[in-house]
Amino acid sequence: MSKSKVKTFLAYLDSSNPLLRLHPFVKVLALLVFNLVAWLVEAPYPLLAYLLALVFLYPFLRVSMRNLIRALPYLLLVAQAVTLGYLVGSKIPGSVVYFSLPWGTYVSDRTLMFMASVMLRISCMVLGSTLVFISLRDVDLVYGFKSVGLPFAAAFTVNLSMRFSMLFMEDYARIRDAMVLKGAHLDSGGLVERARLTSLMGVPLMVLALKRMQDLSYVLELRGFPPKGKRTYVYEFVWRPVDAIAAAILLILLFSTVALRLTGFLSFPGWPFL
Amino acid sequence: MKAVEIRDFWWRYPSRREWTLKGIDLNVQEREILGIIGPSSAGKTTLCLCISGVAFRITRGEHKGVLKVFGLEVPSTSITELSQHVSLVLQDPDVQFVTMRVFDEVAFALENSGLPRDEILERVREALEFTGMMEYANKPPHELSGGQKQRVALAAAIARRPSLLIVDEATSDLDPVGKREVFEVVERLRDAYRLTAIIVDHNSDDLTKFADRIIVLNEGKVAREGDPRSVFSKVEELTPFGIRIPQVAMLLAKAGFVDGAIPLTVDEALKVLRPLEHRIAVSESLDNGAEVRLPSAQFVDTWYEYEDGTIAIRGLNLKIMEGDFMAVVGPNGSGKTTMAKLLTGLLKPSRGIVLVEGLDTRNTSPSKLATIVGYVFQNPDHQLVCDTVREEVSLPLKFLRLNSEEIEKRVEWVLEAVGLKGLEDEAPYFLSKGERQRLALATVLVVKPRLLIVDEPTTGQDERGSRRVMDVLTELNKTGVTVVIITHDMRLVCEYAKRVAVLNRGQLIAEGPPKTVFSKHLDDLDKIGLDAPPLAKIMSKLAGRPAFTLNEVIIHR
Repeated sequence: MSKSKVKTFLAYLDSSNPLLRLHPFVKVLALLVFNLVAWLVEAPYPLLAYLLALVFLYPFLRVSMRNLIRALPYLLLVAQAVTLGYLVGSKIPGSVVYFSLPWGTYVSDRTLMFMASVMLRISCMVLGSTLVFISLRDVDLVYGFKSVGLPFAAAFTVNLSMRFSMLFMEDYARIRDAMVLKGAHLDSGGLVERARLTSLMGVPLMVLALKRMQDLSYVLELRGFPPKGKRTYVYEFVWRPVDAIAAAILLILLFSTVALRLTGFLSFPGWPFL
Repeated sequence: MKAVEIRDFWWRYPSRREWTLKGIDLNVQEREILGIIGPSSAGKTTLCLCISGVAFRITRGEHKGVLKVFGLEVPSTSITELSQHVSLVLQDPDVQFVTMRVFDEVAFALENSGLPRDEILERVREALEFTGMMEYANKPPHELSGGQKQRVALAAAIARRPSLLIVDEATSDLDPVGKREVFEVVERLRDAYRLTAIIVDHNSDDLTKFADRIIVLNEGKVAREGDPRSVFSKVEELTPFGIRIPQVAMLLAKAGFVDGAIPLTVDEALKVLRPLEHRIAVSESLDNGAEVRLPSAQFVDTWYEYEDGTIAIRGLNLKIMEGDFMAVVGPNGSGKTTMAKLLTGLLKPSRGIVLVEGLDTRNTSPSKLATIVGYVFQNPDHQLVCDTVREEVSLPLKFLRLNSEEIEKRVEWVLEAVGLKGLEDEAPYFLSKGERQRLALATVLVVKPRLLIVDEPTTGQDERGSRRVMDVLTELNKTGVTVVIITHDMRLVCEYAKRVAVLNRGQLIAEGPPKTVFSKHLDDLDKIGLDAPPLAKIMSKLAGRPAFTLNEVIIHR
């Protein structure tokens, strides 16, 4: 009925998905490059083009668009915070000032443009990171970081923090289910009541998280972590031509972005404002 | 050689006035399998944590006396050094997982110890085969069923081939045959690699067959010690401890075998009891009062597929009748919990229909179904969100907007029913595990659901705690509440359930009153890893039909 699927940090991928076969180094590099490029580009139109390119990568790499939809609520939340921040707290000069506020801030045409750029940038970072994490397993993260010279203990700790944030989300989902089964209406009713009910869930979440942290410390020690001597790695990742091509594309993307930014092509129009 | 040497050992947790362990004297010889049984709070887990060195590392409690493992003074030895000799498997496997794949989980410690790659692969394969988890090697461990998780934790422990394996109630969620297989693996490892094992388990029926020696721990002291046959020959002396006594021992005691080395297996018991065959009969008891009423819930050709492609429920057709007390049993990963979640509306069927009192769960929200269906989770910690026991129990009633007088009345009633009266102002997280489980049950009961589903109600509870929970459920059932329990404990199924539904790989393979199921489908149950209780087996052979409780067994003098 179903193909066999592989669990990654954020999704289930068909075991035949080419992303799963990429060398961990490439995946870690992609995580770095996708975010650095978004950070370097300031101009709204190139950012929009970059965002569209990232969206296009999803079907191209056979990743379900459903994963994009999952990221939308978080993006909307960030968008609200960014909008509010710029509407009430910015002083970016522009050709038209739409309104001023008593504490000296104002909103100009450039404010809106800059606000859009920031939202696009965050969206690019979220979409790029999501794409990588959709293909990333814990071994990829550990081997990837190890291949760039990070000690195993540090690489594994990064991996554990990722894994535990996932477990935190799973605990949250279970506690939420339990609340719903007690008759709590978490998806309807007033905002204040929903916030109150959500805050109730913080108690068991904290208790479970603290318990996990305490247990984890000795569980790891009991299983010989950190290793005292030389550690064996059961996975043998082979560097293939496709990995070299992917890494080259990523590096070209990064260096060309740096070069274009230095020439001012990707800067926000009119920057610096003063 | 002594694997473990304990002399006049005392242990006290930093926050307690009472000593948890009080002058323990115990030696465990190399290649010995030691079984530890005892009621809740007897100090079993503390003893395991002390022997493994974990207690000294995480709690820094006070101790006195001598505790050595393979000659090493445990209090002054690091866990890392002890871990080269000792593997500890805890009851809650979730806290032990550090990777995202069963294979990686088993390989993790071996990689850390720097073993050659080929040897790691060989050991992982062997451990997964031993524990029956080979087909799950690529699955994420935290998404497996409770029993499967325990198997993975055990596989990770045995792959290391430790000199001392400590298993602290880590088989409580395993199906009966799974549990037996684990004990068999321990025996094989003992023979092959000179393994010493300490196994804590509430279920003495299985433990006694494999342990060389049993100790009964009570109130922090060794109350009884000896080989299983002699320890369990004195049934009356053991009863006050509130532990589960093997059914074979109880039957033999009833038949008049009160001293000496008594039989502990079904075959041994049959040999001893054959000469008395003509004097033994089973009373004509009814099947726990099964009655036919209207369906409370119904599965109509229901299928459920998880996101990873696992089909947990396959074409299930089942009716749960009003006023029924149904036990859902099946091997680990057979779809029992999925079935329960389908009833609550938390999961919607991929295909087919689930009806609860005529409502299609596909179109009904879980919070609306919550007024009909109550669901008690396996882990109580996911259900407790308030600062006090009273607030915890009141919360669902506040959601229902009941008046304060009614809330007060119901809170009093439910706390009395589950035996938590007097603890109203305690913080839920400071209660014992058994108390938290009963509190979680109370938060569901207080709503007075018409259909109550309880997932593994007695896991990790001693005999007294198990009986208390089951008695509460029975009383509720008598008032007309439909009860569905998910369990691996066949003794409880036989004693309490009116009907049994047997699931295997998401399909219903047998259904009916326990006596019918255990008489007609004994071989089928055996094949899928479920085992009828020893008493049922013995009486089927001696008297031609199974007995579920000792009261049903008649021995003519």
